Amino acid sequence: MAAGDNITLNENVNISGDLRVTGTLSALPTASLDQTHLTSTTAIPRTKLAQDNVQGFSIPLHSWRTWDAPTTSLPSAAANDDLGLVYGTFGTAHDLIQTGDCKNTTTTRHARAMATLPYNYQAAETVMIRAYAGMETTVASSSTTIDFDVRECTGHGGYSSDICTTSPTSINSLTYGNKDFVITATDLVAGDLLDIKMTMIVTDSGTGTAVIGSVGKLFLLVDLRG
Amino acid sequence: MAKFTGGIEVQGSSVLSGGVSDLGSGTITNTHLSATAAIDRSKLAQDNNAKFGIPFHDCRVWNAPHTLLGSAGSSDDLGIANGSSGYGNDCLRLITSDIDGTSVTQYARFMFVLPHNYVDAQTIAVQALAGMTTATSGATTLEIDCHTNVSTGNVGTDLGPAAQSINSTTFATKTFTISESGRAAGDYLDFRIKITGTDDGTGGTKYAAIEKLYVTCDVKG
Repeated sequence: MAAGDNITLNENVNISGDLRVTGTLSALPTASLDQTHLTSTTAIPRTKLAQDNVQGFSIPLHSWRTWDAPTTSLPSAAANDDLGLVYGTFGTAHDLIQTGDCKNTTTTRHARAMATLPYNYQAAETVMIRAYAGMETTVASSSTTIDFDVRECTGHGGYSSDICTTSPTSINSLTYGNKDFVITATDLVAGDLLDIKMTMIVTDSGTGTAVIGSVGKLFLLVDLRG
Repeated sequence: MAKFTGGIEVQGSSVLSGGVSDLGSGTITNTHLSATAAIDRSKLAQDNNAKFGIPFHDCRVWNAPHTLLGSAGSSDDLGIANGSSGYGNDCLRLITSDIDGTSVTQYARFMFVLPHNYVDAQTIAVQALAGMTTATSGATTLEIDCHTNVSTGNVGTDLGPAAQSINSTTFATKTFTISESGRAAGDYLDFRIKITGTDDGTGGTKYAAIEKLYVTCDVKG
């Protein structure tokens, strides 16, 4: 037999001693390893875990505040340039952030929140904001949009420019839907602090019933491991 | 069957077309895993009852949730107050008004979103470290109501269990299991804490209080 020849054994091989493979062990059968094969101190680093994309972290409705007076909670009804935190009876109806009735006018209203990229966020990977939003009672005769202005905080009073690249998006439908807003993630890492302003604009004329923009869920979506 | 009682050194590639049986326990370490192993979350061990703390600052007036809790229990609202000396170095607590010789039913409300690593339809619970300060009452109970937010203003049925007594000056952890059927990561849960106390007026001032509050759920990773 010449060096490099293959040897085919048609019988089972039982090795009582060690087996040392200095070449490549290929084609390890699928699913042949399980938890019992790992040492109790395996300490698999996060980098070896699969990346899970666009995982949701809530930005609770209660954490949104008056955009230009952030010591102040949102009012219970939208007013002036502020969105409202509108609530129903507990157990019957849940909270929503709404524009208030904006029929027959053009109204721009805001709210503001802060969010921190989680410890397991993968640097420079996808970051988005998702709003589950729509209209209550009547759609606007012209348009209703939602938009987000997102700034990265330096931690000592400074700001990035707006890093939300998605344009204002229509929510002018009585059927709520997910609206995603892409954040430029080039310079983002775990722990970065984002200052977020939400804006809804209702443009309506000649509508006889209430025209209300509404958001029921808000998420920060990120790519992470572990 | 061929049997090798010594070692085998394979300098070329080895192809295993069958299974590998009896690979010894604890033989795989981190160094054996590719840097790009990309182990799926589904293959991680499930950690049951992982704790997610609910800061008391997140609790609000139950029927006016744009409003923060007051500094003392009042009307039908729990308060958020500093604990007194002997109860954890002035730790914050949720607290009723004085139950002495009266009946109170007071609430607070908070929201929680099931985390990304929650395993669908697995256990969810609320844990509260709760009890009475100063003295016990005739009866005092704690109850947790929970509704899912379906996002268009409607909510699901109450997923919370029955009330439990907290009528003891020895604080204890009370666990309230939330119905997990149909729950998934990202679900919005709307919680209401309810403390009901009755007392005949003996024993002096007495308050019901919560000193720790968690949502627990089963996660992977």
